[in-house]
Amino acid sequence: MLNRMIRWIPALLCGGLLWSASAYAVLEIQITQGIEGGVPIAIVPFKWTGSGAPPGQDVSAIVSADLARTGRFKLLASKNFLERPHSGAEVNFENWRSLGVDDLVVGQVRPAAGGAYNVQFQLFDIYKAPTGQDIGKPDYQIKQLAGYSVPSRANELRRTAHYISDIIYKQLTGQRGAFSTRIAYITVTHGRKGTLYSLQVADADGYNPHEVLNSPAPIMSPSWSPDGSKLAYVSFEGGRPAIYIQDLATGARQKVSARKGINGAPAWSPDGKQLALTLSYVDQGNPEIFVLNLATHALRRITYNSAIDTEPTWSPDGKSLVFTSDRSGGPQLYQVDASGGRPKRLTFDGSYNARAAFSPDGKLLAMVHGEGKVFKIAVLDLKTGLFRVLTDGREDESPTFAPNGSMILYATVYKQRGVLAAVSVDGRVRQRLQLRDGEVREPAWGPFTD
Amino acid sequence: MWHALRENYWAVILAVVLHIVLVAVLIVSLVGTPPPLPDGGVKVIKAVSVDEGQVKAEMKKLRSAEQRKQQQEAERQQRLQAEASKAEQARKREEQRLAELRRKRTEEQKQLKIQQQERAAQAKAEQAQQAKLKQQQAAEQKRLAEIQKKNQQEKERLAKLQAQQQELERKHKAELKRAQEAEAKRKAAELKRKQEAEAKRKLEAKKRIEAARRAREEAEAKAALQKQMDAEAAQMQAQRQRQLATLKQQYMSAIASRVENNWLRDPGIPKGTTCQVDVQQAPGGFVISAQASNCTGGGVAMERSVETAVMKSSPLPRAPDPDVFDREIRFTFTVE
Repeated sequence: MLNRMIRWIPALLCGGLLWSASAYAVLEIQITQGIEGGVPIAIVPFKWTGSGAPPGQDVSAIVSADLARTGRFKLLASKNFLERPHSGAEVNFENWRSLGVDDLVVGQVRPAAGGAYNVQFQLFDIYKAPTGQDIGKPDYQIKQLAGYSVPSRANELRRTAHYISDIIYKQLTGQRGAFSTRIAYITVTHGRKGTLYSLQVADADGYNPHEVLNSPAPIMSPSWSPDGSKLAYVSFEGGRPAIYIQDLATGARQKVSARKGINGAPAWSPDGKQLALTLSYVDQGNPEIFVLNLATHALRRITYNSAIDTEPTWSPDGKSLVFTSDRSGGPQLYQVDASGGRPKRLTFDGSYNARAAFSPDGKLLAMVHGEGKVFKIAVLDLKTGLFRVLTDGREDESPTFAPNGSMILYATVYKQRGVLAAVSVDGRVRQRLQLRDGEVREPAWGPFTD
Repeated sequence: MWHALRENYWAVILAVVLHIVLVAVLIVSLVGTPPPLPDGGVKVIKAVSVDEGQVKAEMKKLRSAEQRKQQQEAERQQRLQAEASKAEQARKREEQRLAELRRKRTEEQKQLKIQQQERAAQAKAEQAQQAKLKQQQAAEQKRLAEIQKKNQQEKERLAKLQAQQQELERKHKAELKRAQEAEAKRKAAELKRKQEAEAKRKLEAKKRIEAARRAREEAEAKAALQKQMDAEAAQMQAQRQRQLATLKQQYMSAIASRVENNWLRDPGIPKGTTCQVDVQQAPGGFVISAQASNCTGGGVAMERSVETAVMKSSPLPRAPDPDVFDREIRFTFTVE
């Protein structure tokens, strides 16, 4: 403002000449307001071009759900569409502009040999202006941000849809999409034969679940190896807790810790060579944090405290561990060097902060934040110290970041039943995942696998 | 001709008489007996029945009539022959008389010719005599006219001289008068000129003083007016600048307001993140290009949000005055 005033003074004094010179100067305008919200986007249902019945999976519906779940997009309801184009050449951009959408996705599913499909889609930026290189091009070519034809086997259509979501997400946010990743979780069903525990792996949207292990004894705390090929977990089979590592492709299991007392809360180091865990075989059964070298099976003790130290998690750089400890009276989060040393308390908001999870960039720490008898998911910005509660459930637990850091998956209770839910990192969008049956607990979001 | 006729009237009369006689003879011979008239076509005979006795009596009557008729005819023929011979004799006599006449006339003509020649000679001599006399008369007349002419000329010369004398005298008088008048006029003019010059000089002097005074006053007035105009111009200029400054503020606020309403940004973008967007607009406010740069965070989402905010706002509010319009706008977006 002052700058602008200074620019005015000579014009006022010297009259026209300087005035006309200043008239050609660039207008400088400050914008500070604006609206926080999802990017308005329209996804036109893809057209099935085959002669028979359309495929069982609706690719465009899956893409829509994927994008909506992130909270970064506001999907225009299809009943408001003015047209339903299936390729760029059919799009009248003015229609979409008038509907206020920034981006548009159109596509079609074509039959291919052997019952397979080709899914063709195009993503457009409605407001993209032509540049010098665009002279003579049709509008849809200028505005197209992405366009692919993806071959897909019949049983891979969901995967294909997630792949398309990843491409769109990357184009619109600049971040990698996590729609093609998987999640692991524990289900508990109470049948006539008693309670059955099951370790399951599903797509990131909760669909397409596969059972990895089932047991009448409790299964707990699944943890993904950094390459996504293995899971570590606690199983009470045989009546005592032990830590196993299971290869997802082969089903081969390896018992890596079965010490006296507690063997719990395994967590893979980012390099995949170590496992942090909670053991109580020392100091009269007091739980302490240890690090297990998976190659040598050597154990390194990290904490030395008479209080409970548990639920360790690795910082993404592998240099430190954050764990829950009640050494201050109530459970709070502490950070300690991965080689050991003096832990530093991180959380001071409230009397209950436990079960930490690092965001992939290491900047945020998600946790279960207890307020009296109510437990919610909260996020601490490690740099600024800003503490934010994201959810408003009563029994939310086990937060886990999506590998792209955009969302947090957690377990909650809905209608007296344990279910999975996802919340955007800003807390604006929360969504329950669709799961078939049983009680769901302890989700763990898998890494990018390629 | 007439003269010739008069001189030979006997011959003329003779000729006339002869002509008349000839014409009469011609007419008589031309008159003669007329041709018989035609009988008018077919004669219609009306038949009447009679008795023979009657017819015989009639026939006898007719035959005697016929004989009488033939006798009369023979007598008539004889008469006619006698008449014809008589006429022949008369004709011969006449011819003899005519020949006599012709001979006489020729004689007369000969005589006439001789007389004529004599008369012509006599006339000629008379004519010569006459001409000579006439010549003498003309010469005398000419001499008299000459004398008369000379007298006239002398008279005219004298008159002319007299007239010249008079003219000279008159001229002299006029000259004298004119000279006197001219002198008087000159003197009067001189006086007048002097008076006028004096008056003019005085007037001009007055005028000069007046002009100088007026010029001074005008200059003063002009300077005052200029001063006033300058002051007014400066005031207007200042007012215009103030007006433009106000308009520019309004314009920028209008643009900012519209763009802010269209800035939908990802909630995940941290506070304090800024992004610059360089925009080119057409005079109607249509955004030609919007280019984000120097973003301090927020990545593609921030860049897209700010570029889209500007593109969505196209056309931008119109400039309230062409002087506040800028083709280029630089926006600075700040997440607060």
